[in-house]
Amino acid sequence: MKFSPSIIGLFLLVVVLVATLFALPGPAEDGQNDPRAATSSTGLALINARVFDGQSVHDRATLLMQDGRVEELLVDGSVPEGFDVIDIEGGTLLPGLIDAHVHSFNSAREDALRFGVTTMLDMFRPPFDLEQVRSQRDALRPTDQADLFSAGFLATAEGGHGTQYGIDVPTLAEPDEAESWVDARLAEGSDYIKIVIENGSAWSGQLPTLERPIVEALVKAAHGRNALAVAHVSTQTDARMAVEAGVDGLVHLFADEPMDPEFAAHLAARQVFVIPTATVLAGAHGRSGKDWITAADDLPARLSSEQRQSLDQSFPGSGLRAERWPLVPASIRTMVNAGVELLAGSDAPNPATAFGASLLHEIKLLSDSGMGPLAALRAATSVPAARFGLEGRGCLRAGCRADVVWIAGNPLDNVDELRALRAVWKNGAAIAVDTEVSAPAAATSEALAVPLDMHSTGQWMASTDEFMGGQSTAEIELVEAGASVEVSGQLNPGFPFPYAGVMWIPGDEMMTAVNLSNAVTLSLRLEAEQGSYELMLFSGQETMAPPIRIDLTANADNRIVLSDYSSLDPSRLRGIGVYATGNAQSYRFTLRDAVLR
Amino acid sequence: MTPNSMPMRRRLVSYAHFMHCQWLNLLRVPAYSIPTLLFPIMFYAFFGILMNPGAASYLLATFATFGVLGAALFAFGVGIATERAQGWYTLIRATPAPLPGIVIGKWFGAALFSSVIVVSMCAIAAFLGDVRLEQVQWWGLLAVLIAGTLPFCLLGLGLGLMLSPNAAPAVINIVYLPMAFLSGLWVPVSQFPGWLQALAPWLPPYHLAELALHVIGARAGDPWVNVLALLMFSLAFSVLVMIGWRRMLAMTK
Repeated sequence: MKFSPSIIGLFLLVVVLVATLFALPGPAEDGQNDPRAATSSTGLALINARVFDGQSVHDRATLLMQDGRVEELLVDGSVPEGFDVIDIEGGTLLPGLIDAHVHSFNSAREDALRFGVTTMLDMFRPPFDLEQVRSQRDALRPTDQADLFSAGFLATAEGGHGTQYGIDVPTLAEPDEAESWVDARLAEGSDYIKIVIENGSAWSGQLPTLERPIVEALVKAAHGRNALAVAHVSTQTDARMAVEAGVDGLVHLFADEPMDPEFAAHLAARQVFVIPTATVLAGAHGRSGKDWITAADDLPARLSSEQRQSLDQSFPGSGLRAERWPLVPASIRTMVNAGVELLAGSDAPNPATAFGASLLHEIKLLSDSGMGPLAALRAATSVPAARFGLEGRGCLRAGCRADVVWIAGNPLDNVDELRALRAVWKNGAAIAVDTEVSAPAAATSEALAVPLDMHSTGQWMASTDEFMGGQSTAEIELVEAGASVEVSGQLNPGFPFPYAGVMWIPGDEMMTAVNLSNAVTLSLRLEAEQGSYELMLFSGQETMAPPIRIDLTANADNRIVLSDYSSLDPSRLRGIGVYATGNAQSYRFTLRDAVLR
Repeated sequence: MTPNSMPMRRRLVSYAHFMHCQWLNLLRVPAYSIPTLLFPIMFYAFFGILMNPGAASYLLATFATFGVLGAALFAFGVGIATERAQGWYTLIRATPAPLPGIVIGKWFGAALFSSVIVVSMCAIAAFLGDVRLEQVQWWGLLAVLIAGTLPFCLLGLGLGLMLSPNAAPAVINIVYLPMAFLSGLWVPVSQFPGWLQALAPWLPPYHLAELALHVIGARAGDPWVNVLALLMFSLAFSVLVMIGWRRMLAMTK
């Protein structure tokens, strides 16, 4: 058979396909061709630095880094030959920070690293890439991702907390399933076991949860395999149960009641650690860390659009719980006084948190709640490293990883100076700090916790099509408690159907929509000089379900019969928006007498 | 050389000719080949890389499934319907050429297209989407997706034997696109409302996507359920093919 040009062409195509497949990168090769890798052969000396080595502070020390590790910490301040030198004068070096409570999805590991978090302890994510995650964190080559340790799947009851995110979690029903369940997790690559004890009562709900016998069996199975067992709890009662069942740590502080000093002493005596996740609790009580983070000069440029988004989100009804907030710092103070070991964790990316940035806020909250800066920084470095057995992390001594944070200031004097983040090194290589993503402005302005007649609850928030990629603006001009809300702004082209106005958030339960199935009508009066207006009703099981849109008449009483809209789910009402619609015009309207009956 | 081996050898040579002809066909009608190849790849570049950063590897599995699904359905469905209407198969029946060669040729074309689509997507995923897989996973993805086109080749063949050349593209689009969407090839099934989620396992592309996801490490369960489901679908579509085949033979008699 002769080879015609077409046969040769076919042969070439196959060769190209095969060659392409062979050329595709594998996880282990990642970063090998990185230009930064070449520089790591010359060591780096950071001189004239105040160094917090994970335990204590040294003034005017020299930190030597080579091949991804700390070569030496020279506390006498001497500078050896043969190193590239960076003068840290006036600044502070910290070990790469450890966030002890995250849920690592999407670009979490890049996002956290820009804020100096070089190691994250994940408390629930699908485990399918854990082998790759392990080989990455064992390596010392330059990377733009924080290292990850993970619980993998969490232990929960069928239909319990953790099953609501669309991830197929293997659940438990009987204590005798614990051994094989733990075996399966460790085989998947879980580094520790996370147990959910959550009956929903703290959030006025009801959830199936694991009972004590199963918790005990899980703890026993984990300990029998040299794995830590940590527990999610949200009430003091459940916390006591978890501790009696033998868990090593609690991954949240409960906020249903103040910490009982006797229980705190018991925690200390049993050496049970607590990850208070104060920053996410602050968000849940209308005290989001967003303002603290964005008020800094250097931090906002490091936020990606995803980080801004999660930071902008708020828990429904969080403003209404504001008066309960002092309970959280008080409980932390009680634990500090009792000598309970506390670990810093953010619970990012929950609403009002952002990977990395929120850990800095957590350190601040811990520091302000009686720990002081030094102990709070230990809680984000040496303490989690010791409790979770993370070798070479949370420390800056010879042999530790060259994970280093440079703060232009002294956070040990003033914890707020943590925000003067100057540079981050991971495995000895500097991390690019600015995100390339152009950061959009916040989709909503600050939540105003002013209840209206509309069930005399909820809060008003400015709301625009920016969420959909548009450029319209809205500003809440005036809110008269229990009477009216005045909104103005500009409808700008961007989103195909521009809209802007105000959104009423009904929720007074965390993370759940509100049941308003008794409501039959919605009446409101809209006062405006010009323009067309629309009502949007957000409801249903999915947070992102498209709203029902109803035209409104300006300068008239509008009465909407809810049962007219079959796709409305008043049992899961998430929000009611009143929006100006149309193109390129400014608008101003006042909303009065909004009542759900 | 025994007398028996002669026809078999000729048969194989003849199949090779059919495959070669299919290749020539694809080369000589670039107006068909290029868009068919580019469409799913472009789709993945937009939705898998640009729009959803961070989901590039999950969407690689589902969009690659989408790509091979289209290659199989169109090569068989539209190709066979058109050539049949042109009287091409009547002509072939008048020659000593073995009739199954038509199917083998078409299969070769579909597999070639599928390979180009899968490998191109893998390259985009790796170099634009920072997807990192082991060598065995890259190859496994290609192998699973090529082998997994069996039920869709049969479905396309069945439709191609039944439909007129005018109806074929329209009908196949209406099978292809909704089936792809409802199987979660564009948006993960877990994002659907509950009742819609329940529909997905009754559609064959869902099971192929599950296998692809298994290869890239996004599924933990037992893949044999999905293999079995795909075989069952293949069996069902074979019945369709047999009916269509008989009809064609009867009509050209």
